Amino acid sequence: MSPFMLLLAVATTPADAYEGLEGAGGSGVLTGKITTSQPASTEKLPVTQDGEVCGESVAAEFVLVKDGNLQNAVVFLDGIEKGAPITKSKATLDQKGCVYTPHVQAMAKGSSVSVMNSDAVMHNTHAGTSFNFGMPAGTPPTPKSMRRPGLVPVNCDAGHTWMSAYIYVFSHPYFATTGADGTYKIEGVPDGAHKLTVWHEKLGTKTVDITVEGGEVTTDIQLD
Amino acid sequence: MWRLLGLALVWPSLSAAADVDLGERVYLRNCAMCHGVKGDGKGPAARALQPAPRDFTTGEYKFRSTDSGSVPTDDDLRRTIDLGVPGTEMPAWGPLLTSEERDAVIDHIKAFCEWFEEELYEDEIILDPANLPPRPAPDVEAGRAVYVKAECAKCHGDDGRGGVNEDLEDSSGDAIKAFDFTRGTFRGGQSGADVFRSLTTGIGGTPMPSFLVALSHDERWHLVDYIESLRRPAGPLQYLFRAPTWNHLAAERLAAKEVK
Repeated sequence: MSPFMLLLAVATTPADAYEGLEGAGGSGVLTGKITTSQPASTEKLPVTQDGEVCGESVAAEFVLVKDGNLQNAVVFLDGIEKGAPITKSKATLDQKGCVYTPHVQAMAKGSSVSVMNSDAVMHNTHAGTSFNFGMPAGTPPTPKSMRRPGLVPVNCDAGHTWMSAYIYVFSHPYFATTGADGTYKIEGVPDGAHKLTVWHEKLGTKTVDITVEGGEVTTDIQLD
Repeated sequence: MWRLLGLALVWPSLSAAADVDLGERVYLRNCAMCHGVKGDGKGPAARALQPAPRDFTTGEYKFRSTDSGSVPTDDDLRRTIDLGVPGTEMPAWGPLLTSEERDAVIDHIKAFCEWFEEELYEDEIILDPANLPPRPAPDVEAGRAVYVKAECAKCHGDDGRGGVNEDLEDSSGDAIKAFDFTRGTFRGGQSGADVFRSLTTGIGGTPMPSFLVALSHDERWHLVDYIESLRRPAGPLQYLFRAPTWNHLAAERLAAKEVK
């Protein structure tokens, strides 16, 4: 084999390393609060098309903060390789008032998202490489299985450039999205050393090393 | 420049080494100049190409018989390699490669993206080109109504000349224009069935969505009727520029013989 062939070794991304087995979960519970000192988004994004349906502007949802508590942060165990099997959920993604609801959500691989258009105008729901549906007004809810793990950005190409959402798909069951109070809770975590990571669309990512020994581990993280 | 050097270094060994995988050999000799040695669409020639060559590492492909967001079937890949992509620099390789070479290079190309490792689910294959439900009687007026309902004009313009929406980007962030139905060369193929396929599956890696759910089978065919009615006849000068291209000739020749 020509030594030069080594130069051309095809680099493929490694296949998913997580293995979910019955009984391989644990009793660890991860809780905590995600906070930030950054101010909440106050800007109004101008509506440049279909104003009769979308209004004049929509409130930006990039950073949702109340009393320092950060909403829409996704907390998860990064790179975990063994644990309980995933449970697939049924989620929704609605287009209403020319914004996506919910703005950020997380789910396990294989879960289904029912995409809906509640507006009297056409949207095309373009979720990264996962799907791109044209949805004229009145299109019935369209279910779609999210089979590939990763962060999926959602946008509308039909002129509604201000619309954005995120769907975070995981190959394991250890994730949570913070609500308005900034708290998260992840249950059934196996014992051992883990990397607890928090992701936020604007404020970035942060990882904390934690060790679980069957009980509750509280980790508060500040993103700035 | 380094990529060119790398390619130049292996060039002698391409024909010499008997143990080099056939697919890899075919790929490096024919495809790597545009699609890159790593299949990322960044070959040495890529800078000069518009649209840019496909990045095989993402699993996004334009012309498929599978659902939006799914990888293509092997037959889809055979079709694109055989017929090329008219209107772009992707030539029709059908007459130039043997079936064995083409199938070997398909394996090599699929290896660039991990999503090909999983079998396609049944619900991902939404069109069986050999088994399409029959096309309804043409109805251009109904097609116009569908064009309005699906708000195609938002990107393709009320007259179908395209280029209306200037914010459009493809998945690699390059600016992209909505297709001009009046004069453009259909990249996915000239036939009604090709246009029907693109409406149904969406064109992967671009803003063109799938209308599988939003429009019924008949509605999509009527839309094809309307789109076909938008074609402008070529003026005398255009006959010069629209002389049968390699892609058209190859397509005719391949249609004439059995392509496996």
